[in-house]
Amino acid sequence: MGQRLSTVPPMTLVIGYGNDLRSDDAAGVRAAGLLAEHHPEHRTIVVRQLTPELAADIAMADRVVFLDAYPAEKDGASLRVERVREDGEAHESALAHHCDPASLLRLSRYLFGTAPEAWVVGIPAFSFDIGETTSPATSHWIDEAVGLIEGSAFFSGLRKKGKLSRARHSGEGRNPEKRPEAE
Amino acid sequence: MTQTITIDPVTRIEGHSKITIKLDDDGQVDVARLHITQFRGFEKFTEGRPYQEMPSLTARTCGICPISHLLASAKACDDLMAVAIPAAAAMLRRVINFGQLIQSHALSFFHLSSPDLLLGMDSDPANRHILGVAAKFPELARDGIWLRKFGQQMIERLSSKRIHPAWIVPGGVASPLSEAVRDQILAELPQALAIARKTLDWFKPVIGNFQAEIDSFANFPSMFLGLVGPDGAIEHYDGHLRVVDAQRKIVVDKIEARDYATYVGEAVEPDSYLKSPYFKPVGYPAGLYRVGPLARLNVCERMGTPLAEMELADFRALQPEGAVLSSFHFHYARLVEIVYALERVAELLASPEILSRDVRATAGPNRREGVGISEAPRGTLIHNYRIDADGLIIWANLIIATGHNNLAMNQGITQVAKRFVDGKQLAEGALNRVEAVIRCYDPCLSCSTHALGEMPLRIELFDVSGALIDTCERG
Repeated sequence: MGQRLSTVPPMTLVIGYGNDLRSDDAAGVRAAGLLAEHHPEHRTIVVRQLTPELAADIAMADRVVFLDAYPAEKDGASLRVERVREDGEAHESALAHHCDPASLLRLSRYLFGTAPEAWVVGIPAFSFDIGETTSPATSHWIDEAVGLIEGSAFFSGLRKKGKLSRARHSGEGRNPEKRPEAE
Repeated sequence: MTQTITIDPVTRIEGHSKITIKLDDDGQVDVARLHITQFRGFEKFTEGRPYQEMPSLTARTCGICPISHLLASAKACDDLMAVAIPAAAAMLRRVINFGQLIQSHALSFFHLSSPDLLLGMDSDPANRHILGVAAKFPELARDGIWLRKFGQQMIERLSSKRIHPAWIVPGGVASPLSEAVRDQILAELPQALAIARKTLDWFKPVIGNFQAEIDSFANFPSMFLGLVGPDGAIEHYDGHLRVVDAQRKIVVDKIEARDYATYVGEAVEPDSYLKSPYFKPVGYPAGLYRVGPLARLNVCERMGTPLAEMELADFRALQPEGAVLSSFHFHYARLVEIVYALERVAELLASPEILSRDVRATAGPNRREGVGISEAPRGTLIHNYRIDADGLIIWANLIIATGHNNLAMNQGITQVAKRFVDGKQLAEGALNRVEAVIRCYDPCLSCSTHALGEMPLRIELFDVSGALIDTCERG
């Protein structure tokens, strides 16, 4: 029997996390939502925090992009893109109810024998006040994060959809048929 | 000179707290206290809101057990409306409550407590967590993750959301169950049950390895409180309250929800935001009682499902003459309850009635006061509301499982500190045991103080004069 070439493209798992009731803390959630709308062929999950159960989803992916917000100053703010090292030191939070990306990769390795390559895209966030919309500055960086990921090798071969309106970052105008998997 | 040790924060629990251990003149433990250092005050800021909003508002108390608050709150609203909800709605509420119990118990046993049980109380704290368990015992860790996910997916499939769903509403539930969702859950039940039974088969023979912890982890006579059904069977959604003593003799039975305040008082201590409920007829603080999985297995007469009935018989064999008293056995009780929950879900989903489209009763407020009681994973949960003529909340009282257990947790940490803590030489393993006795109760401080956050822990050591002489912090 000859070698069978897979026609299934590599599957990227996008995990956006943050509190969507805390303004810019939802940056990762909003960015993941936009990617889910435009790239339904990839899997997208949005959660408030990372939990050990995600290890099972991670083990099934070819690569993972974690989208998170980080507190930033407006001057000099930029996207932070970091490779996740599964051999990194376990975060203290692994002791409690939630995990960090490195811990999840290690869990995936320990439990399912595989840990895909993974990246964290940190989106600058400026306000963590109570609120369901992101600030204009963070909305800009959400667009940038989406553009970066669409233009990266992760989504190679896919048509870039272009800039998206900021109104949609607050969750308006979503196509309900293409929502990310959400808690 | 008296000294005090402080553990701050307490780890692997939900919320913020610290423990102080006071030593006597000889450097021996005199007393230990658990201080809950966070506050939110849902009872206060819900005043003025329409009663129909209470399920959604109070569910935000906690991200771990929102379903429990939804249920107790919706039941209190049912009471305000004076409606009997449709049979299918009650069945569906039971099913989602079991989904909540399964995921929460799996979190407690596999994620939070298995590191102590598998890696040892004295093992390196740097690895004493779920990652450490995954590295050494991947099959058990995988089972835990699968089981918790199963419970979470039950909730998500029924309500479309894993956390804070708006599906449980005053008068019933928002939408009926589809055959597809029923079949999805039924298809995965056998694997879930196999995991639960396998875990029990592993755990029961190794319980004896923890005799020192069993002897000292809040192992004392107390009363127990919990819901039971009309026939005395274990109950998580409805029924009436029962109180038994340490001999498992009934102290009070058939307490209706609206009479809870006749029996349960709430004391306030100056060093904690967590109130201290007590059994009123006995008084404070002697009216200490416990709630939760251990209490439920002690107050009930039977489980009512085949496998869980056999497991209850094994469980009762731990203390044939009376109630099982050691809080270490909360872990065991959780596993028995998971088996029970899975069996009950199978029974409920097998009934054709559960697919009924009639799932909600509607009415306006017909009473000025309503009480809803259910059993949350951690124990009895009470929501009590009063409304004005416009249906706006004018007073609310929430008594949460962790609150019920406050007196017992304090007595428990004193007992374990006396057994393991040497005031002259603090050992990490000893301090971990002080934390571990609290973890037996799986306290949710976000719920019980209606507060937000994780539960780091701090231990402080004070001398007789009250001077701080040593501190150990984590979190």
